[in-house]
Amino acid sequence: MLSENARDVVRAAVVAADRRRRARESTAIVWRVAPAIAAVALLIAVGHRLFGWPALLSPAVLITAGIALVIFVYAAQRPRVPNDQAAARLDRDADLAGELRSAHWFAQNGEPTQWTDFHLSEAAARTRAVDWAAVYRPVRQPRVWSATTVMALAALIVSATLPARSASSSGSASAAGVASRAVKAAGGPQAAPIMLPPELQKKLEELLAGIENGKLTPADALQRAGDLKDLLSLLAKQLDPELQKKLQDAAAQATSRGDKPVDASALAERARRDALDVSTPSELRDALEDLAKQLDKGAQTENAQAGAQSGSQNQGKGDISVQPPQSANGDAQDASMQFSRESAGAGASQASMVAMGLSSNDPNPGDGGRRGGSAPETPPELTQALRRETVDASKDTTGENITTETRRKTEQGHATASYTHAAAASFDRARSAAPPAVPELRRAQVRSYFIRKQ
Amino acid sequence: MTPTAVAQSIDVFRERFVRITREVGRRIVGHEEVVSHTVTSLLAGGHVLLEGIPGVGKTSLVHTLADVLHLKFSRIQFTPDLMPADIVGTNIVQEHPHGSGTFFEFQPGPIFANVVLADEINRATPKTQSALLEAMQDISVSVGKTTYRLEEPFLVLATQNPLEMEGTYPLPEAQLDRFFFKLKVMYPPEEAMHQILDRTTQDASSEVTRVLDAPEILEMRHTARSVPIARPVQAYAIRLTLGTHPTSPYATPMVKRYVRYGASPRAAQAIVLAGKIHALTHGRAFVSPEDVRAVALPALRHRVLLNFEGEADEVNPDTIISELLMGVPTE
Repeated sequence: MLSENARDVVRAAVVAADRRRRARESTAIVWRVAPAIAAVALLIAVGHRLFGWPALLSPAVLITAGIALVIFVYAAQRPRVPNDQAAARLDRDADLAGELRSAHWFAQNGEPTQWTDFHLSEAAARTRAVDWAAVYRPVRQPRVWSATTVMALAALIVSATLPARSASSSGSASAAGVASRAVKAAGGPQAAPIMLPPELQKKLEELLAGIENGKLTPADALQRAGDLKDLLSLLAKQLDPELQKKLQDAAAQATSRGDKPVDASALAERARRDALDVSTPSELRDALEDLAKQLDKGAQTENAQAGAQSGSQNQGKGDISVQPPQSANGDAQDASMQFSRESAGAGASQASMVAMGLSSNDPNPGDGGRRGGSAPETPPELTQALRRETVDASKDTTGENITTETRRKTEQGHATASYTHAAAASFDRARSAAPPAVPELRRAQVRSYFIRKQ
Repeated sequence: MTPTAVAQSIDVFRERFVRITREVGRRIVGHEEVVSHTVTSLLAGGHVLLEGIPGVGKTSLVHTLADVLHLKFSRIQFTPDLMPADIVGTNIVQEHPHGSGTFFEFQPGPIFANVVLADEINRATPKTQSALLEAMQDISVSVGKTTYRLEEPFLVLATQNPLEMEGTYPLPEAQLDRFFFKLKVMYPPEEAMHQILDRTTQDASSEVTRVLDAPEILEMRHTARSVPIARPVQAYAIRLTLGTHPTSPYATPMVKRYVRYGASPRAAQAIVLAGKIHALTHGRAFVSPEDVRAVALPALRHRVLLNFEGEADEVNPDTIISELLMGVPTE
């Protein structure tokens, strides 16, 4: 009876103490990991702010980690039968000199003898006297708790309230590119497509379809070139912003009815593709290029207006401001944009960039060749010149351009190089290191070694 | 036996052990650990190999122990010309008292005692050294066709000098393995030297009293063997023993490099038994890993056989075992 009581006491004490130990260890692990998780969540939130990472990523990390830690703590504190290692740890932590470990083994395995009974009763008495709550004190780390809470809250606040910002908003970045990306990241209005009246759109599509069919006689070509000129004049009128706004409203109504409006940029691309066809008469190709150019200009002007408007909307939230073009009257040749960005350190200094003249056709002036966004960013003149060069180069390959062939043969010379003497004056002594001087006593030997007697 | 009786047995054991060591300590100064381990060997039924330079009190220790215990004591001075019969005894021809003829009578040798001091055991030939094997292992000697049982408790205390190795015969491994402990009797500290001089250079001699007799020692042996040991603690003793083998997974780097052969199962027996006695002397009815660690060094140091590299580098087996104690986990 005594043996059973002592065995039960030892078993129960070990189970309870082991559970307390595991709870303490799991809590300690949680407090070691939680600040790191909160810090990671905060970094992700800052990444959302700076690099445009998903806003929900940081809360998701926090929630997932929290659930994992709760599961970990629950699993660590579940009651289980302690093994010898656990009993040895309890014994060591309570400074029981191996008595609890030994008694735990005899409580589970050993044959009951007077000696084991005595051992178990002694161990039970000593185990009862141990203040396990003092041995395994609850982990209280207010600083860690505070830091974790602050970081987690900061992560949530940053993710929930502050808008995302592009990291490339540095001074060297293009203001136009910044504006474009800022508009996109903020979820602002996208570049509004040029809307065409249905009649004009139908005519354009018929014309392009006829050209693409390839059944053009010279007379038809001339006829269609004339039609194209008419279309161009119509298109110039369409670039009026007020008219465009009306057309967009009409397109929106058509969309709500189920009709699908066609973007003028798609037609421009189609016209540009047809202009590359060498089988098309040159007059018609030029006319197609002009048509594509007109459509592109209209799209660029509209996109610049849309970006500037969205930048103005964001001026109150972020530190980026995009001013609208100074003359937004629909003439892209005169369009200019000014971007200003407040410096992070000074806050008062501004950097401005103004694009005028021919370069004003570039919607992203000063972009330094960087291209981004959906707006066409290659100057049309440059595109046209490049295309002509491409056509000319394709003609050169046929061997019909006699002058080019001749020029090439002329330039393909044969160079031969030869020299007779090394010029001592051209030796740059500053770039060389002189060899160590021969010692005075050995110069005669060296001289006699290298210079043979005649 | 009730728990109260168990507790009483532990107290009696502890009190007797303390009484022996205290009484021996009245004459032997500065060797408390050696005395404690010697008494442990006596209570475990083992034999002790005492190693130390001349003059540190090895023989005095054995003399004192025999005086303290109410046991029969004999001393054998091992020399190169010592024969086995000089140890175990021999049959000699005797005449009947009434002149009716002669007969062989066994004349017991000095081995027939409770405490045998084999002084400078490594000076005898291996043949003579082997005369002790049967006595140490089986507590009996065979002469001719007759086997004579030795009286218990039987304890062999052998001494050897580690310096004067010329003309000596190192003990074979089989002989070494039969020693329960190998104890190193170190030079006494300065304070202990004062006490030694005070006790040995003055007129007053330090007399010791006999505190135990043979039945009490045998009872203590029985008590020691009754102490339970948990299987995990016993597993630790086994791991320590196996760790002395270079091919064992518990072997430490030094064991793998310097050891040719490790300890035998007798080492594990010695560790467990000595651990039980160590626990009892501390008033405990169980063996803890600390008890095992406390007795591992004297139980293992003479059972580790060094290889050539270890001998060439003069590696101390104590260093190897110390590393083993640090490297082998208790759990």
